[in-house]
Amino acid sequence: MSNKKLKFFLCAIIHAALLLFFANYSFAAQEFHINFDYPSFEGDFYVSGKVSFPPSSVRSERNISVRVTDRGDEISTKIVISNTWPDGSVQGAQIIFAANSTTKYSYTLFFGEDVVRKKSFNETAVLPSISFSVGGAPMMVEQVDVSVGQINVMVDKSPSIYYYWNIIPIILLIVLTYYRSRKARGV
Amino acid sequence: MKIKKLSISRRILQVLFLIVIIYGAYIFKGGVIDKPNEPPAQSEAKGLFPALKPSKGSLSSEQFKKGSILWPSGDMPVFENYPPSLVCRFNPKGGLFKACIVHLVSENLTWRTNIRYLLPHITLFILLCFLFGRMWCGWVCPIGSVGDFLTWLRRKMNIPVKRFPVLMRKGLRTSSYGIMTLTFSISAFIGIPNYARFQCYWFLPYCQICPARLICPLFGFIKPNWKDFSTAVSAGFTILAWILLGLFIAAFYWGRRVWCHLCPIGLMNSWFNRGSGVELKKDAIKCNKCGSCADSCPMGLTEMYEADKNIIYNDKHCIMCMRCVDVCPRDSCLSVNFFGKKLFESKY
Repeated sequence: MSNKKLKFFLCAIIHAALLLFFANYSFAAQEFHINFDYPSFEGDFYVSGKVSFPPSSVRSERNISVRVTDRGDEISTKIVISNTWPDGSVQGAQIIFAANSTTKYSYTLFFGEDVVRKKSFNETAVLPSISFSVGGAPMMVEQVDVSVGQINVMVDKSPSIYYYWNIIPIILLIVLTYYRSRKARGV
Repeated sequence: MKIKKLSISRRILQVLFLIVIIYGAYIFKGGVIDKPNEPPAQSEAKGLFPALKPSKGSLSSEQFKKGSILWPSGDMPVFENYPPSLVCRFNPKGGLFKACIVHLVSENLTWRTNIRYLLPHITLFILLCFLFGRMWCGWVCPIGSVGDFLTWLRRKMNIPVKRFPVLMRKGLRTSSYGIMTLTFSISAFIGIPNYARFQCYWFLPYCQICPARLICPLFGFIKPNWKDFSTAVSAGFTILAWILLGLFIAAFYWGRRVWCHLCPIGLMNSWFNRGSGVELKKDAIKCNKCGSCADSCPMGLTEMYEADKNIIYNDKHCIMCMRCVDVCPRDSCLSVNFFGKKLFESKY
């Protein structure tokens, strides 16, 4: 084997070793922090929300569990599958679990084929319910069920065109880029 | 010996950017607690960097060995659905902001995100391209940095670099257009409701074969999903991903930055290169045709060397690494300008 080939071969071995080293000491985890605001009242309430899953990652509702973030204890959940992917895996599911406004734990959602849910409940008590979101998502729907009281609803009154203001700088930048490229050619 | 200040600065910045890109979320989101009464999230409470090994009682690799690699937006808005990630969604827990325009466009062609959610990201992308052109490729891109490390390794082993043929450069660029067109076509096709059944196998087609998908998670000590033979399509993508990763690594032992000619992200950046704020300028009178600029160019470009008149050289292939300015032995022959204002110039 020539010297050059030997060096190339050695390089390949070093790379393979590095990749194997990283792969060997690596670990994977699919988890999402559950975001919700604790209500002002004291006592139990339900936290519910719809979560979307990637194809083939969740075969049934048994592959989804919610745990207390700090302690890692699984809590009872009610999971209703709303829609599935073409391969039969879960695409979206409604997840409901009970929380208490005095303890104020944070919760984490785990999912995957190897996750096994052990605690579940089906019957829901008559309790207020608030919605959650996962990961960095903002709360899409803010919902509080109260029997007596006042609900203040804030409505976004800005016209829809307001959201498209970015088109102006985009066009401006493209025109400027084009102008500058023409100018550069002329030097 | 000439001190290559720009090259040294570039190396330092590449390392810094790599750290920020991969671990940015841990550094910059570490101290942020949204609500004073709410307990901090797990990742925030752990500190700046991810734990190298799972703590006792937490989920281990055994439980998540088949951890999903592609997290689609489903029926929720894309950008709010998961922590934003810089460069690649396959980074652990995400970085700071999205930069992979190929992923952004593919995903939103398939899952039809409302354009108003996309506009701020497109604005940011175009603004960065307008200001810095392809500096992303030369100074920031983590895959480019990995490639530069491989090049450094090759140099240490005294394996000679090959000159990049113009024909091959053109061929790779054409292939890059082909890959991009195919990616976006497939993404748009499976976005049509009647063909949504193909989504679970064909979604994010380029991401499934991109070397970054396999490399980026390793930095976060996360095992990428490197083998999936569950279906014929998945097996095809897996084999293609292996081939491309092999080519990516092997290419750096053949030439410098070969992958950058094929990269569709670089391709989209290159559209703005010629009109970008960063300009490479040549003063032809001062040039003695020594060829240092052509020899040092990691993209194998020779146009700067060949030019016989004063030019602003912002070629679409140029990754703005500025090595040519660093190695040029003639005073003020080559210079780096920012919107016409001189920043650096070559020195003897």
